[in-house]
Amino acid sequence: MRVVIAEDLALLRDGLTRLLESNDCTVVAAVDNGHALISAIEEHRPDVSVVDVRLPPTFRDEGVRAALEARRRVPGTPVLVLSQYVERTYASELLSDGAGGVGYLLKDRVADPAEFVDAARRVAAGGTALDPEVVSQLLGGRGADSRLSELTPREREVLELIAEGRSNAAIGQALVISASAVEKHISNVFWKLDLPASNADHRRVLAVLAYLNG
Amino acid sequence: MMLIVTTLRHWLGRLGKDTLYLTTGLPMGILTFTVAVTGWSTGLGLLITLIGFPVLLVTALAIRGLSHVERARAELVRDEKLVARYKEPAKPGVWARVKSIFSDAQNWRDLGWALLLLPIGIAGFTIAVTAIGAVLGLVFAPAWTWALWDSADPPDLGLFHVTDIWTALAATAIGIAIAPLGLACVRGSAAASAALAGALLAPRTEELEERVEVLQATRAGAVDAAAAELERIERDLHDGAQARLVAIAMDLGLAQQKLDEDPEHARQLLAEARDGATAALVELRDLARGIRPALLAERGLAEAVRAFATRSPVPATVTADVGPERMPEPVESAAYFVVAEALANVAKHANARRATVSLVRRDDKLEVLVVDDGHGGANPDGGGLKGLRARVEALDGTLGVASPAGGPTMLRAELPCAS
Repeated sequence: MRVVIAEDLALLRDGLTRLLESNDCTVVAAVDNGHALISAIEEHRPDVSVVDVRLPPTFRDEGVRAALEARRRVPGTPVLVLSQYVERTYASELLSDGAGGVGYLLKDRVADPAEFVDAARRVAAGGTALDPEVVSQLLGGRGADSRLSELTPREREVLELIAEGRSNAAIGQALVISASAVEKHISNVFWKLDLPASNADHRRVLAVLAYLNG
Repeated sequence: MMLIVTTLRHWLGRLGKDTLYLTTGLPMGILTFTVAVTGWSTGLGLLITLIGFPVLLVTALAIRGLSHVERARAELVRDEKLVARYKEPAKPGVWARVKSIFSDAQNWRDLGWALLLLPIGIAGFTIAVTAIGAVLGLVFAPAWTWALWDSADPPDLGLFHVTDIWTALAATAIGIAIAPLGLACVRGSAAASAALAGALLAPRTEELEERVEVLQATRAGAVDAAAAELERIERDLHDGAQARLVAIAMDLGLAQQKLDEDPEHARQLLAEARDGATAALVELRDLARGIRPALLAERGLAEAVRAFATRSPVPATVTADVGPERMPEPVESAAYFVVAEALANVAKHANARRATVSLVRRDDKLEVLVVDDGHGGANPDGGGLKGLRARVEALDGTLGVASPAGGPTMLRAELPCAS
């Protein structure tokens, strides 16, 4: 898997490079600002880009903006955004083009290299990898009037796992239910969220987006 | 004897100034009244032809100029200066300036004084001339009646006729007796007139307004400084300790992964993680110290400053005369960071060999002085100093920097510290 890294702190840039390379990834470029990220993506067309939210010069949401711009120029290029904190707004902005291939994880997740690289692979494959923290933030601040309130607790759990980018098999494992039960829950979720019939991956992304936008 | 002479001199000086004030009031009154009445009646009369407007404007400016003269004149009698305070135009341009003139309440009070000054001037002039004339006339009666003696028509002093030397001397006695009364009349009229001038020509709430402005500015400065400080702390945490911990977590995760296949690499990663943890601790400690040094909280300003000075790269001697009592926490904190920033600047920019820090607490004021022997030329509004100034001003203190090219640089802060 070919990866571009955008992280302004050398300490973490080097750490990420080392982590990815020792897990069978090739870091084709490691940059420290948003402009360089966009050019690196245009030049290398990586399988996935790992991007820090805060980059120079403003140290605000440069990373998110640069990722959005890169996805405008190279549609669907997968990005995995890392941050010290998570904001629902950023996650829904990143997913809003509906193309998938979006991850948004707390930096804490690098503590488990295998899991982290796995998330990067899911994003590279066009899936989503939203941090469980995003998901729990959403549950905390959700009003009762949203479409999501129609979901049963079990369906909601399934949706959370979809947001994290889990496959049907992984969801079945996590919730200890059969594959067919997972299928049933997922189609209920799609139906309740009123998602148009299309390929399964795309619907999953839309479901997550609906989830984020409440 | 000395006392009598000084008192007499004082009262004669007073009398001279009061008299000057009252007698010049009449010509000034005639002038201001004429300008005001002719200017305004001409201006208003011509308003329909558009020439009236510039006439009014010129009149207003002339009255403003005369009011400045009046303020200066009032200083003959008043102890404190009358400060003019006119509205500043809200934005550049002629129209804004015109608007600022006519919407200014002070402008209309000036006009009021210009009109009032004529009757006041007449009264003041009359009182001064009559009182002084009467007293001098009586006191020097023997002299001038002798010089102008005409037995056919003895001088009539109103109360009585001077007919011989005895009545003349009686006049002198009466004159001396009523001199204090004359003096009081002059003093009273001058003071009353000047008081009225003060009421009209000085903004009544001027001091309060100024204070409010200062408070608004310092409050905004304090809020800015606090926000900047919070931003700095958040940035330090984000780029410092938080990043270190992420790196440690990453190292540990990788080490765990490598434990079996590459134990040597894993060991190396563990060592790095431990170093990272140490570095994170140092960073957190420095950050905490930057927010509130432990020693400052526990032992107070003098010891905290001494401890800081021993860590300063440029040798710094500290003299502290602040008494055993602790000062309010915000004062101690501000004073500490003034010294810390000053010494950091000395080390960074001044190319100095030594610095001295002095802390003196007197009369509910704390003076902080940091002097170095460097090459000077410090920017008094440089980044760190600006934030410090905001912090000091928020406590009603002042912060000044004197740094001529060639040195030395002196930074002085004064903080009120009523405990």
